[in-house]
Amino acid sequence: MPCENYREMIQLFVDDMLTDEERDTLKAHVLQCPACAEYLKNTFAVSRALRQLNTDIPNDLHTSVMDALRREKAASFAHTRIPPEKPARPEKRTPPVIRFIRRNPIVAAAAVLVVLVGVLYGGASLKSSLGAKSAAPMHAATEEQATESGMQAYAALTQQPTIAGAAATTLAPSGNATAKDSLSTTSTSVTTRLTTTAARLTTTAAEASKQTAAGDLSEQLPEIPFSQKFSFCAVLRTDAVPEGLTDWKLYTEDIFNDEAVNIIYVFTDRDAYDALYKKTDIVYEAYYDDPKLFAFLSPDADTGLTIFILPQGA
Amino acid sequence: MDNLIERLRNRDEAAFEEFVSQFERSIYNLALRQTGHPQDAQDITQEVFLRIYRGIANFRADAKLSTWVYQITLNACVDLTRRRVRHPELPLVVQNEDGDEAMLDTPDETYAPEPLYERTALREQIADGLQRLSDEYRKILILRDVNGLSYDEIGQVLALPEGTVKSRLFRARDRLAAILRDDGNKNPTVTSNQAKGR
Repeated sequence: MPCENYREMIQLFVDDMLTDEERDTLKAHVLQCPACAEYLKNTFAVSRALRQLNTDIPNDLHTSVMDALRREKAASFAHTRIPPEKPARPEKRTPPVIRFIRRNPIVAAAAVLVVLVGVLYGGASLKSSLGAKSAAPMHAATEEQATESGMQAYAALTQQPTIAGAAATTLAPSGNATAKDSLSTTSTSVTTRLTTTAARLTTTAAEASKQTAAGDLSEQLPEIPFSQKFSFCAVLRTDAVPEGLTDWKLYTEDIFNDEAVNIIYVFTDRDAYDALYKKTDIVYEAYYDDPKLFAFLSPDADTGLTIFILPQGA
Repeated sequence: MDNLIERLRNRDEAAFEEFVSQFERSIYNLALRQTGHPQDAQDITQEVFLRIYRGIANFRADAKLSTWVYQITLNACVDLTRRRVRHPELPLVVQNEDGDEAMLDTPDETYAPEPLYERTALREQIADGLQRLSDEYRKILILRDVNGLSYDEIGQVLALPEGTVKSRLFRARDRLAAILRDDGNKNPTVTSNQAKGR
């Protein structure tokens, strides 16, 4: 069968429309046809990136639509002929407090007076009595938040870079080292997140390596939806960018859990990277985009892309 | 769903609330990727729900509600484009060497930028690539990959046989991949963010 026919099968594979038998046939071909393997990766990357374009609606859209429908309903009930509704631009709403003050100026003035009296006569003693008590719980809360942040960072790492991972694998061009110096300074909060994440990942790094060696990742992958994983990922502690690793650059900025981060990617051969990795204590864990695809292409086909996620330090 | 349609016909506000919640994201995303502008997408989303409100009495019971919704959305996008042609304020649509429609790369100051998370380099590349496809290719890619419709549903929305849906979709993906690859070759620095990161 000519490659052209396999190309159609690849498209159907990306849309999950192949039978098991057809998939086996395609797999046999792709494993011995680099051009079709490349086509598969490209098609998969484009489809994946497009899916990531599906965004949330703006905050005020639902309200403005419902308001427009209510106006339409009121107009039709009144049997009045109205001009066609112009789509309403989002309106700035007056804050509730301001609306209350406008409606009830006397009550508002009285409330302000009561607060002022309270501050002048009771504030100082209240502050001194509460000050000592609040210190310990705040410390505890900070630790709890730090742990939670680490968990969130871990979750974010498994979700967001899907596009970059998938598409950069095939679509982005390579380049030289550029941004390493800029990452030397980092925010404390993000460091905390990554360090916590790093601790989590360290324990699984050895397992991941064993899994790679065994060539059977699909059964031991973390329990997260495949669609939220990315092709290959290495997480670095902020102080652990290896000295000899030069073939990397900033790919993009992104927001994970409201935190700005830099994503950099590496175009270096896997062996060189592994040698560096073994010399340093880079925290390392590999996720494979889709066990189905991974198994399809064999582990070697996964080389060539590494995404580092680092705090935005520049 | 039949019950919902009946309630919509009776102008039941709770039914419209449910209906809007169910379809607003799909409509907004289809409009956003068709037009390329968040504010246009918001206007179109509102316009679509108003058209549905006005036309629900004429909705054929044997048709699929979602199909109707997507068709109305695409029509609203076309209407907006026609208005823009009469009163151009957006980048002009031109034909490139392949005969596909492409947007002239002129900045449009009329519209507020998308939120920061929308402006990441790759999304920009993909969204930009979509705008440079022909309308037929763009529509089918959005319906399949952004909105997640099946081949059959796309066929109903666009009134195309399934074979045509598949062949057009596959060509559209190939075309978008080629555009992105060309862009990558022309601009090896990838993104302006790199410069910022140094």
